[in-house]
Amino acid sequence: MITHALQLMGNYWLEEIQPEDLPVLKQLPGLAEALSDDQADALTDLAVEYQRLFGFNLPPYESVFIDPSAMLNAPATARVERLYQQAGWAPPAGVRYAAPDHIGLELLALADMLQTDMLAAPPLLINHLALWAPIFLLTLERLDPHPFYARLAELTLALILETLPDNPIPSGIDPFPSLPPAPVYRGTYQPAPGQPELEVEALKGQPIQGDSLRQVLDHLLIPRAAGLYLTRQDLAAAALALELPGVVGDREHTLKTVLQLAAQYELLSELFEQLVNLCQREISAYADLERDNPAWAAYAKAWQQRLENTIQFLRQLDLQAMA
Amino acid sequence: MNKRLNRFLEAVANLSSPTRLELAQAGAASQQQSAVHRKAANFSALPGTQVSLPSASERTDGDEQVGLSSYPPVEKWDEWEEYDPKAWPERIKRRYMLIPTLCFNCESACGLLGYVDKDSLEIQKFEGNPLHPGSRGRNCAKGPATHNQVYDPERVLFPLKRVGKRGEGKWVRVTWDQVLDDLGARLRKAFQEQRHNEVIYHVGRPGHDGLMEWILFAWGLDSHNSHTNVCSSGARAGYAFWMGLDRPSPDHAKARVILLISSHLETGHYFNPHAQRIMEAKMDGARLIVLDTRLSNTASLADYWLSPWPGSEAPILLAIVNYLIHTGRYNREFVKTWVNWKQYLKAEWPTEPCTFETFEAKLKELYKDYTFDFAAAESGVEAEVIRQVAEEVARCEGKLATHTWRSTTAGNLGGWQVARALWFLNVLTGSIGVEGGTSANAWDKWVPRPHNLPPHPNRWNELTWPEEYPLTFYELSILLPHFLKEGRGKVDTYFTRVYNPVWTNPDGMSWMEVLTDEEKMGLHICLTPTWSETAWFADYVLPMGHAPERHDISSQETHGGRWIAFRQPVRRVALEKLGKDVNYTYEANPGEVWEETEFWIELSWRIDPDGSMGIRQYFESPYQPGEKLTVNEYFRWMFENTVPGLPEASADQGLTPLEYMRKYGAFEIRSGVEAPYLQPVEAELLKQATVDADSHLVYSQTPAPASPNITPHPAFPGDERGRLVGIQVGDQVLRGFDTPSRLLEFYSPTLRDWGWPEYAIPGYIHSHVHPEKIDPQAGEFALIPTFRLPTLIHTRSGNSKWLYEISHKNPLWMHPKDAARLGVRTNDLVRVSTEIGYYVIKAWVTEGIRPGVVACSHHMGRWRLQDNAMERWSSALVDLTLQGEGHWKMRHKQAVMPFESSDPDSKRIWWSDVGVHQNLTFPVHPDPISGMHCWHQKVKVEKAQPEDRYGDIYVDTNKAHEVYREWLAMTRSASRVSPDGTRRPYWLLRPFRPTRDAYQLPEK
Repeated sequence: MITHALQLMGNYWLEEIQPEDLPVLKQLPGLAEALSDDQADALTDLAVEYQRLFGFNLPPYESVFIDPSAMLNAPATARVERLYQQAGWAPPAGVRYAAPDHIGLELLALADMLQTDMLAAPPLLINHLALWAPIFLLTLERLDPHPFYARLAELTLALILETLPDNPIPSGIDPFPSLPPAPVYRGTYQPAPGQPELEVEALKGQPIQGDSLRQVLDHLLIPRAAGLYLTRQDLAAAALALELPGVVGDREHTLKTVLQLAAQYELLSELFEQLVNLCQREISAYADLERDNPAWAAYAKAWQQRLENTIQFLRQLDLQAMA
Repeated sequence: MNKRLNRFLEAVANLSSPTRLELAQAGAASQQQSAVHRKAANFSALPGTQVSLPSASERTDGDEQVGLSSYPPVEKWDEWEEYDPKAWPERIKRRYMLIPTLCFNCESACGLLGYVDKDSLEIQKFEGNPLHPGSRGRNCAKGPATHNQVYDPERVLFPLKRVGKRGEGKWVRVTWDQVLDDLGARLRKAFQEQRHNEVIYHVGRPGHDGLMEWILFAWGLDSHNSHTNVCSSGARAGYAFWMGLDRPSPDHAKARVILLISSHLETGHYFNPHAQRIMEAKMDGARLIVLDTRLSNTASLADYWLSPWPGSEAPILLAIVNYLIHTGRYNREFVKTWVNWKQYLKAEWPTEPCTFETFEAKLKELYKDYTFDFAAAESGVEAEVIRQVAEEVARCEGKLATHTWRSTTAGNLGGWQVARALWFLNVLTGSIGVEGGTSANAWDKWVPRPHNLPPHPNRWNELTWPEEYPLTFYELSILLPHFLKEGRGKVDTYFTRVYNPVWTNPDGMSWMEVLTDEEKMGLHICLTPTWSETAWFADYVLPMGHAPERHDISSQETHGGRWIAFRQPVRRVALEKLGKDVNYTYEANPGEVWEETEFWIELSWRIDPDGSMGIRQYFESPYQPGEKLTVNEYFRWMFENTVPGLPEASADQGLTPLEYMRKYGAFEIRSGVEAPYLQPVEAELLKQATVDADSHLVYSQTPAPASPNITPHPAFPGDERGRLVGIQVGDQVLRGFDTPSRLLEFYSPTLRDWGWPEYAIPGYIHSHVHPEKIDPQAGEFALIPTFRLPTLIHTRSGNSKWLYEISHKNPLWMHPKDAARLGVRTNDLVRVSTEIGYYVIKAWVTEGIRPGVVACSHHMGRWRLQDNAMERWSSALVDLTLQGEGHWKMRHKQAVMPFESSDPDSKRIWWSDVGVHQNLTFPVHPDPISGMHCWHQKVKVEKAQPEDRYGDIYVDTNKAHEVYREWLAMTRSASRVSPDGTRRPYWLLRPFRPTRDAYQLPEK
């Protein structure tokens, strides 16, 4: 039953919902209610939402959350691939994915491994899915998703944690794997061509003295460091709360621009406070999850510790801005 | 357990319908393919178009399937409905006709589908045509941006005629009739007075195949002038001296090793079709090696990125050659059979045994000094890296795909030897005409013969083919201003077409001087889809169509295969589908934008209205004798008669060939690689054949039938024994290569006999920016000014707001070490001085360029002389002043600003800078052999001086002329070196080839 459920969820995460899925979905409590009556409209809405969520805002890949680079096909991905290879498991033919550590694939792999009693199933669950999927699924909630994806996230989270054995990680052990540091692509920081030299220069003499902008971006945009996945919507909400102009771009561009705008309008302290508040909300969310699922305690602690560090980091930046 | 989860799991246990996975596992998903197990669909219903489409292509309009469809199914192209994206989330349906056409931005001719609104007949958007064999439904940014070009509020919509002085910027609107009458009379007079050579047609982006051969031959002209020697002459020469044909066609998708001296994952010809296949090969395990001084996007994806000093690529390649030879890891049988080693030994070592073993020994000796250490010393690339690359090439298993086109071959003196050294690797590995290897372009290209191709002209135009350059590929177009200044001739009527020499060519101020001199340039007609710096100096600016506004046929060697595609005016086609008659394309296009094919037919009738000059006959209908040919008839005849397989494929669908091409936009003539050199000579030709006992060449007295494919080839009229048709190999007579020896010419008797014996074999020529010619202590650098950006295409994309929003600056790339030495930081102003002037630009400090070299993209720096003229999206308003004879100064007056227009986006322009026009400050550098303008420059870079401002340009055209004379002095003129009294080896490729008599040098 659990493996069957994992397979269904794996498929639903892996691609947009298809017409052939509807007869099954209509029998699944929690998901059925989230679908509108008009079949064509429902599927179109879900396809659009799928692209908004996973195409534009939240990459559903382990390496984004676990790797120091926060990039796709990073060493963290190779770690998942090795596990698949050792277990003799391969993604089904014809599947479209950008990297093999897609949440849908990991769920399908777990289903197969549980079904055949593979030795790899516990490592996949304990060292991979339990570590990153809850953060991914909690982040999804912040994106105000379509009710279908909200319910799917709740159920997937519950199923992963339900499947997790007691005390999966010995006390005092950080569940994050050791991975190579992120490659340095940019060398000495320089503005890209076409960009005015505003970032560092604008921030110097204002708030962020002594820290390069690169460090700020690297910390806040890399979940492994920050303790959360900062979405474009999070940043937009922070900017909106301060009545800063709207920003469009990828996460890095958005964060850089919001920082610059906040500096320009002397609202950096307020911006940092918005981000601190977000971190605190996530600390609470991780605590709630731990309360309901004690087996997840070691993971919660690891992520919470990173959020605490981020709060410290933001407060230091704020102090520099005040100086 | 979580209650919700519990209920969910119970429901899962009691499911009464099959899941997606179960459907797939049961194999019952042919109609409802699972997301997990979906397979690619195949448009097998279209004969001749075996195009596998991405899986989503089978999805339809939302009734049966949902999600983000990739391509509408072809059976719905006439009746396609989709929601209006601007009305979302309201679901308002729009009805479209999807009309295939071809992109007209770069040369690739990728397929587009124009979405023509059935109610308004406006074009909603452009997407890819999945049935196009080259692009397979995929496009780069420039394809969809065609929409901007059509709806650009700044475009020229009506024929304009200059009033006032040329270049003064005063225009009046005229009718097409007035234009045709004026030009017809002028050209008739010129032809009647035998002043044919005073008419020159100068083209930048042709966009069509075969058209101008028909037009210019009909007029009896040798007046074609191309952009080739600012583009590809170097590569062409290097390839042609080896194999006769002048362009490579790599089969990237099946290669084991891909070696690029270019950045074809991001730019260049044929970037989009090549890039997708390079990625396929990479996914299949191929190794990608990239030689590029600059860290391009392509280099960033390579397994090996080599950043050589500009012009040092040949020693790297020859070190690999040396490695293959010395380790014996080359295809001995292929080399023994297909290389002209006997010719080499007999010519250079006549006393030694003429055996392959002797040749092998000589090869070892010839290339022994090209060690990895030598290559490393010349290039700055580590010897160990070169060794690793050599090892990769050695392991290619005969599947080595290579490519160079512009890049170093277009940058350096002797750059053509880089192409020759690169092709040497294909020769040694036997990777020629095989799957995963590299072919000649003509093997994968098809240009259908029109119904009435006129004979070759009996004229030679010295203004375009001067005798100083007997081996050039091809016209010395960049030298025209200097030839006119020297009084070598005059131009009565000068057509520029989709060409902007004032901006694109080096030494643009010399062009401006000549274009404004009515004594030298009688009448300048600019056929253009958009304003340009050159159009400003025209007498007529004639608006010609963009991609969806014209007819052309195009066939490009994008991969191992052969196809032909059809560019169409989509609104005209839509109108005709709706039953409305359209006589001329300009009736359907915006304003009175026309297309060249109809324009030339009309103009030809105006030149020769009664047929007495022998011109009109070529423009009469093959279907209604004596009647004027229509554009439909022109293409219809070719599709019915000279495209193999198309009539049959059309008949299978119940369509005429023209209807087939109108419907699908492309036809695949052949899928897969073909090697014509291995094909047996037709038995008919061998009936009256002679075999030369020494060379094994085969001559035939049987007349040559007219080929339905008029892709230019070398010519071998032969001698008293007949035409050269092949070579005897063992007991077979094969076609062989298109060279005088029918073999791959490692040793070029042509170079030897025409004055360059020292370069008869592949070798290394020091570039004009070789390190020994650069003094870093004096602030000197080698400048790479040639690289492209993925989102722009020369000056033609200046009318695309989407593309300019993405890319609008061209800073000077400089390594941090150099920057530190000069005290320069990013965005600091620097002055870059060339031999004839300087420009002032911002620096970009980056490790993406090697120390000692600076680089600047050529795509930027558009300018205009009047505020309300030209593309305001992309050009700066400038002051241009003459400060003494030949001393020009340009200064930016105003950056790009938002402006009012019919397009509300013009008020939303947020960028201000459009870069700096560096080409103005470059003198001409024509390679004495290939004729290639060697783009790289030795420059001095220093911090800007107090009076300097961003965008400042200074040029001294007197010095420009001196530099021209210096490079001219490097040539070896035909009148001095020709072995047979002709201007050029007759066999060598030459577009618009005149008669053989015209090749004779004039008697002095």
